[in-house]
Amino acid sequence: MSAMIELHDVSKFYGDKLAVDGLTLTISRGELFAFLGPNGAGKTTTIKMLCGLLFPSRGTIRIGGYDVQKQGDLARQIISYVPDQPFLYEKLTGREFLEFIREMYGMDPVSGRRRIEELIEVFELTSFVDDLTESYSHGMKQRTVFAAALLHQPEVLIVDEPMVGLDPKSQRLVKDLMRREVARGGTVFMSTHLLGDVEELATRIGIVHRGRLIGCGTLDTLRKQAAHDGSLEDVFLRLTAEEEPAALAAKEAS
Amino acid sequence: MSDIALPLERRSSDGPRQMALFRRLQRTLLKNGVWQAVRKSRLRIGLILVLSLMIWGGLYGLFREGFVFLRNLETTVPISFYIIELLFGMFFLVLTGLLIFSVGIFLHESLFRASETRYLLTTPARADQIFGYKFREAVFFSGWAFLLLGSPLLIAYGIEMRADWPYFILFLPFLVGFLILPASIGALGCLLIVDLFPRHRRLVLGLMVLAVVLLGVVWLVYLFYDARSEGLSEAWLQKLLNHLRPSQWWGLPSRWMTAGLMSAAHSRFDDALFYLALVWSNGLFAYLLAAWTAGRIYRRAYNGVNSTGGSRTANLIDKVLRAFANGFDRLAYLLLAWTDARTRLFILKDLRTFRRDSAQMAQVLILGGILFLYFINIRWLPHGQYADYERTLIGLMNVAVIGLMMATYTSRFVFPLMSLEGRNFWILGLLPISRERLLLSKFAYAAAVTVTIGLGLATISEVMLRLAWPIVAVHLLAVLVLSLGLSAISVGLGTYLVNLKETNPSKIATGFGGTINLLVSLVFALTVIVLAGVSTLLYFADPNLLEPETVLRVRWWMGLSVAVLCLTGMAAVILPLRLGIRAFRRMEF
Repeated sequence: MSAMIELHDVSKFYGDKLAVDGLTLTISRGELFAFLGPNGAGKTTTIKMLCGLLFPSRGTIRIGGYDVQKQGDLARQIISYVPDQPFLYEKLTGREFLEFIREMYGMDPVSGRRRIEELIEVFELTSFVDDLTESYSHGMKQRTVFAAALLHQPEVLIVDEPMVGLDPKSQRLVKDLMRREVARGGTVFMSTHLLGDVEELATRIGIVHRGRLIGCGTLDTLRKQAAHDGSLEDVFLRLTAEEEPAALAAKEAS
Repeated sequence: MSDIALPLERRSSDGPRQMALFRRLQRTLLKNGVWQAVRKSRLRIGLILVLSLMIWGGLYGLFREGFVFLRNLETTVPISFYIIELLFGMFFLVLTGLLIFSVGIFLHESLFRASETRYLLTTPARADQIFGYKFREAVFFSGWAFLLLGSPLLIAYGIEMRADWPYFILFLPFLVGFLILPASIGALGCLLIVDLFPRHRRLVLGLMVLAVVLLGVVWLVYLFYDARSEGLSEAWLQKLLNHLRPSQWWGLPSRWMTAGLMSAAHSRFDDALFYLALVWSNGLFAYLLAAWTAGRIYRRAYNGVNSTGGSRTANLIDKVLRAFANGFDRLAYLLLAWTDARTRLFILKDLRTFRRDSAQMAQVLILGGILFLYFINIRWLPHGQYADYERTLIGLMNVAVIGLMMATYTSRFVFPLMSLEGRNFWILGLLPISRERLLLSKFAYAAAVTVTIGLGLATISEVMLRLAWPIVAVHLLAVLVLSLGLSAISVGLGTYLVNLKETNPSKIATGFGGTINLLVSLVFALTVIVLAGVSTLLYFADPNLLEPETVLRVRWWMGLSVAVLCLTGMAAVILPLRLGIRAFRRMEF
């Protein structure tokens, strides 16, 4: 399987504060990779570097073989990013926004519009897609943003906390779509705190703590690493607590 | 290279296609915004149009009178052509400076802080195309006021000069073309400053603004020194005009605009078209240079800005700034000891936001600094050559300047205070403090700043001019009324016309509510200045030349104007605050 996301010895400094420390990671086509970590661990910074918003202070990132820093425009052609706080133009309708994205990715008008109609149906946007997005609820916005993100059939889908603010039905919709993306050969890089979703969806899991990747593999691999045969929550807490012996001692005492 | 086949019929994104896409986006956003406003807020649109027409008409009348005055002057002093040329030169030179800074500051916010550009940077949109898109927006926002000011000026000039019809067609491309060059310089400056000094970009910008202002102040002081030696004479006027000559240097766009417009007005269309081409070609070249630079450094600069912070070892500049900020907070805490603890917390929160907003601090320091230097230097005016009456008039003019400056300040910075609470507004609604008190704390904060600066500057001006105490009392009372009234108007209307969706304070201040607030503030300021002027002028009515009955009447009118001044101030404080409190009580979170 070809590598779609490659991070090689990536570090990132904010001033003199190290946010990501020597991250090396390879994610293949057709993988749903869950990126976990406590708050401030470096997840969002890593995502921002994958999208080309921030540059690594050291190391290289390649998406689909393109160096994100040197061939950013090409790399961004094959990715889609869904942030936790979705952005939509308030004075555009959902359909106008989707048209804007279609043109941004240089899609053919006929097949592009066909795909827009498809996604409107899949994400159940029909009842509000012709209203200005300023009137949308958070869930409606998130569904529209997902539709826009999948419009050009990205090779790599990067999602940050995709389930925040979604009702159970929309959550199921998003999960099904991510599975479908992976099934058609796409790659999904997902950052989330919902460990149940990770157990349900992820093919591999990476745990980052204080900027360093402290665990990476399937759930079974992580269980072995943590020497603990429990849920992902237990494994996650054990691995991150091992980094903080004092915290672990306190936890066991309690 | 990648072995990935691009799905669907995706093509590589090219510049012209993206440019067309962003233009379509802008048109759609504008069309939807206007259409929605027409459907939902017809009254608002109507008011904006009527007020804009009123402002335009007022400016046109003012400029027309000015040109008539200069034409009449021509019969006695044959230099009106020369004066108009220099005034046009100064007008366009000053606007060049203002446009450079306003576009630069606007682009800093929209290119490096806005969620829209954060989103666009994750798409295949090219850096130079994102820049071009935001540049057009910046020119639109910074340029409309220039067009509102420039068009009545140039139409009045054309009519007064009896220009041929092509002039009235040509002046518009002159005005629009003129916007591009300073805007491009501002944009280029913004990109370079952010790229080279990502951490201290605001400090660098502040120092640059300060340097420009200081140069201006040095030049003004120099003019005053000349005035001291010559007095207000024809020779002084000639010297003053000579000092304005640099605005006519051939390499400045102000010269091209002046020469081009005056040529067009005098039907020398070959010359006019040459200067028009000069304005446009230089503007477009500067834009190309800025867009080319953006294509190379925008993403790097964005990374630089968003990779700062988190420094554990503060450098000397940081330490000095932090010490200054802490001192400022401590002083404010002591000065607010008379308020109750909760109100004080709110005022301190707003004061902290104020000092952390570099644009706000810079504008207050610059405007306040210029006036301070000017007032301090008034003492150099030769008192022998200026009668008490003239010095009093200068004092009154200074009060007017302070009033107009405060009206601008409160409209720009105090009016958006409530709107800026934005998404956190529900927190205010749930706090264990009454809404009246919240609003009054905003008023107390605004009044504390305006009263301190306004009264401080006015006192310096009055002392330096050595005015009679009754005049000083009236002027200080006027400034006090202005400070309290303008603060209350901006807080009250800022709550009544709150805009919780907008996060950019510039857009809140220049939006519908902000425009209404500015107009109301200006009308109030002018009313107070006129009332103070009536008292001031009546003071000089010579009792020896008047009938005793008339003297009595004059004194009565003086007293009445002071009383009306106080009543106007009270109304300006009470009415807007009541309006604001009522609107605040009705608000749902």
